[in-house]
Amino acid sequence: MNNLKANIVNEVQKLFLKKKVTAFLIITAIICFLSAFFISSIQAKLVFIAVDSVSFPLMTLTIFTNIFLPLFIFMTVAELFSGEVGDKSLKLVLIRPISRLKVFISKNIAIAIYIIINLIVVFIVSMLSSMLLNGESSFNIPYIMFAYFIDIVPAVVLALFASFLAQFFKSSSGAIITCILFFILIKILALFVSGLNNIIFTSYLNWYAIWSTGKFSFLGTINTLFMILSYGVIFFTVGYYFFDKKEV
Amino acid sequence: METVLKVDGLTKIYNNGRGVRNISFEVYKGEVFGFLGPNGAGKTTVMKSITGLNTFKTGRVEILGFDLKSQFEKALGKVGAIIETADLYEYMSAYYNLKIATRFYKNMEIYGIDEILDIVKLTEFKKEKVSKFSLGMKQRLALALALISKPELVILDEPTNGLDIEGTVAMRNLIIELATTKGITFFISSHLVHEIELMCNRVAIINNGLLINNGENIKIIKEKYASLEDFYMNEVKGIRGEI
Repeated sequence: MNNLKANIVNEVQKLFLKKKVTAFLIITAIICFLSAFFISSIQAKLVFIAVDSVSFPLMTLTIFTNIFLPLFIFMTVAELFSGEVGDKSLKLVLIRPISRLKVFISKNIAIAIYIIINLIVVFIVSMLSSMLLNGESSFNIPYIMFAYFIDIVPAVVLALFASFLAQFFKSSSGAIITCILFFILIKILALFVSGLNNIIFTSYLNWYAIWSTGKFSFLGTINTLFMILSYGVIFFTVGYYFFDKKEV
Repeated sequence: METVLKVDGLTKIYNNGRGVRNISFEVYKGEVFGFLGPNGAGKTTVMKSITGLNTFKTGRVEILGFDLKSQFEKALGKVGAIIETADLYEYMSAYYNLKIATRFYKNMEIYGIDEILDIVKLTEFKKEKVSKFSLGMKQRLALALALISKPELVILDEPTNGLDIEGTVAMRNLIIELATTKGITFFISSHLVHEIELMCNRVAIINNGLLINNGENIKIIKEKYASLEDFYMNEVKGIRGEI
């Protein structure tokens, strides 16, 4: 257990010692602020676009979880798996007294921590921007926080999907491109294949939106939760199988 | 004599049919054990298998009494290694490279970062990024990483590969000094006879994936042959003759 904790700290530290990972976080903050700025400027001209204090942080969340967050997840996963195989630094941890299962778990936990940090940045910047640019101060904070919180689950499953794909690559660029292509392919297929949207995990990246629209069904939500978690378990298991067999 | 490393019937065959077959030898406490063979003989394959970087179906590896497959964490608990090349986190400083390694040995008595940097003579480069290091400095930092946990066994795969004359001499002297003053057991592979002769007490020879002998005392070899090189040529010729 000690070694698992040690390697989680190591993997998180490795991520944040890389300039590009920190740069992604800064880019996230800038994108959030610019979106708020853009919306507030067109809002004055186009009165029918009503972006209130509740919907702006949630709208940012929708844009972020569907477009930018998957991209950052793919980049981070590629860095921690394929990138380390490519520059051979994966050996540095594999020759330490820690099992491959613990290494695999700790890398995925580090990615989950990165996702949470990303969502926290989006949450804070979108709230502050909304206050500064739109002059809003009355937020339904628990509701917004809950929306951000539940969106962690599908994002982590997407990260597990990416870490499974990354096992087949020895360079981070190859892994990133493949993850993006698969992601786009799934999204396109979901447009044409009826019913696919309901059973594919990528449809639930902005899960909160599905909760808040339409009739809330407890059983339906639990059903979706288990389906997303099942995807997670499958990707984790298959990903670990290939990671364990990897010869570096 | 206490056995630190025991390899028994290790066989690892790659998809292309190459690999190592039926490798068996033992390394005893306190010795500097040389693993000599030409390039492509299978030295790195054996070293990767011993450290868990490679998977193997046949054979057994025991380190300090622990089975590598079933007790991996315990087996590697007192082992330091450099396999193939001195791989480091290039985007980090020497300090962070070492800091990350120390976290795996929380409740153990290990070297302090400053102490180990002093041993490998890199103290003044502590905060410098590894990407700016010369090959010799990288090799010394990799050795520091292998030694930080105060290991009982250090596995070094071609530790002087790519080093210039000064770097080679410095690395060799450091290994000899650590073996004699700290009592660390070394398992070192090389394709250079001269290097093994200068550093090691015993030597095993590998050729074409097969072990020709499993650990001869170099002093005894020198009594029988003019040099280790003569012994090596004689052994390799012998196996070719048998084939």
